Amino acid sequence: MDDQEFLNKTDQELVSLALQEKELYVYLIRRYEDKLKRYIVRLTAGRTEDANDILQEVFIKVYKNLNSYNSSLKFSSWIYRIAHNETITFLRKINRRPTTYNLEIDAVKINSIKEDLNIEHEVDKKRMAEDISSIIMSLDDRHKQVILLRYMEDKDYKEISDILRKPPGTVATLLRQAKEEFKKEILKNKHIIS
Amino acid sequence: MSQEIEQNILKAISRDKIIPARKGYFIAKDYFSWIFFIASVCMAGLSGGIIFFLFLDYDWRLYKYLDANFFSFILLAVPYLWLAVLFVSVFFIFYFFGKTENGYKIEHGVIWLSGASVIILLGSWFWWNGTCQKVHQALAEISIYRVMVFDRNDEWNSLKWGSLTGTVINAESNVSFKIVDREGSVWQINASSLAIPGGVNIVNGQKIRLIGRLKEANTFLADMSRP
Repeated sequence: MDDQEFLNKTDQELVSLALQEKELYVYLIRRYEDKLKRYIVRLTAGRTEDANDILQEVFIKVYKNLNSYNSSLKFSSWIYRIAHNETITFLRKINRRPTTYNLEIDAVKINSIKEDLNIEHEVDKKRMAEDISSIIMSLDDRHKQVILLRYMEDKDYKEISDILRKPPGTVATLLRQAKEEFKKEILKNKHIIS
Repeated sequence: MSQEIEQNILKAISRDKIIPARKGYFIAKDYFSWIFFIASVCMAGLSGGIIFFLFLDYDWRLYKYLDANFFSFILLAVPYLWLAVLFVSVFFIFYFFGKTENGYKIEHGVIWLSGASVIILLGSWFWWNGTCQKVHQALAEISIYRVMVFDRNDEWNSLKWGSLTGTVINAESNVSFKIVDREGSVWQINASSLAIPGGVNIVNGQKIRLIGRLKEANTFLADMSRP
């Protein structure tokens, strides 16, 4: 089989192949490496060097636990869960909560946040990405995590529930609280600017 | 960079001879979570049932004869050991349910409600079929349990409130006899004002519960008795 054939395979098929031949695990790594790294960097607020170490640990852990993957769950949710847990463990170990980091939010994401949170008039357009980024990073950890998953990783409620291993209702509550906290911060910033 | 990471991961897997854990390991892990979850539910049901049984078994009518305030009287009725067992079991119910593969999907409110319902039903069933009584009596053979629950929750064994329980060892007459209490202390009982039902004599070896007051060291003035 050539590379293209492997690239066309589903996650589930790649898991089965990796279990048969470890070299084929590289295709799963390639598929998720960038996404997971971005997520880890966001969660750790820009610790790129640490993110590489965490990422390696994540893929080793995923390999060890390949047989525990249950196909009733999306593979991406399962692998994000492992990445999330490893990153949180790392952050607990270093006992630090950095807050200054630019999330590099693109226009599509900004629009999605603006529409969903109904804050079109509250955000200074020139500083929009910067403001949103700094506010997200200043949120309470639990709120920051759901906001990152929802708006930066484009995960739906079920996926967030599967990644965080929290009931969907709890995820909805956390998101609602996160949005409220976010709006409060936006209004506070607007007040300071004006 | 990307290729470097891929290679590092594969190298680490080869170097450390990492192999995926067997599927059976994960299935067993999930089964264990379920087994411990069910065991915790049963333990919670049993402890709930025993708490209910001990409350029912408590001699609430005794309060009006004793020199105790009602709050202290209620506090004596609380089976702290079983309450602790109940709390620990409830904690483990949540813990092990959360550890099951799909346990996290259930809302906490639903777990609380269904957990409480199952504990109440199971506790009632254990109480109704006599399991609670049997377990309580069987555990009373163990000295630490006797001290922590059986004796501690004995409203009939509080001298400061005026109750005394023991076995008659020297039945001179119905108005003067000696009893030995659970701790082995011997008490001279002055029962001149004790109303003993007609035709009933105090005999050696008889278990007796008395209400009255302490007169002097090891002498108890009894006003009421119960078998």
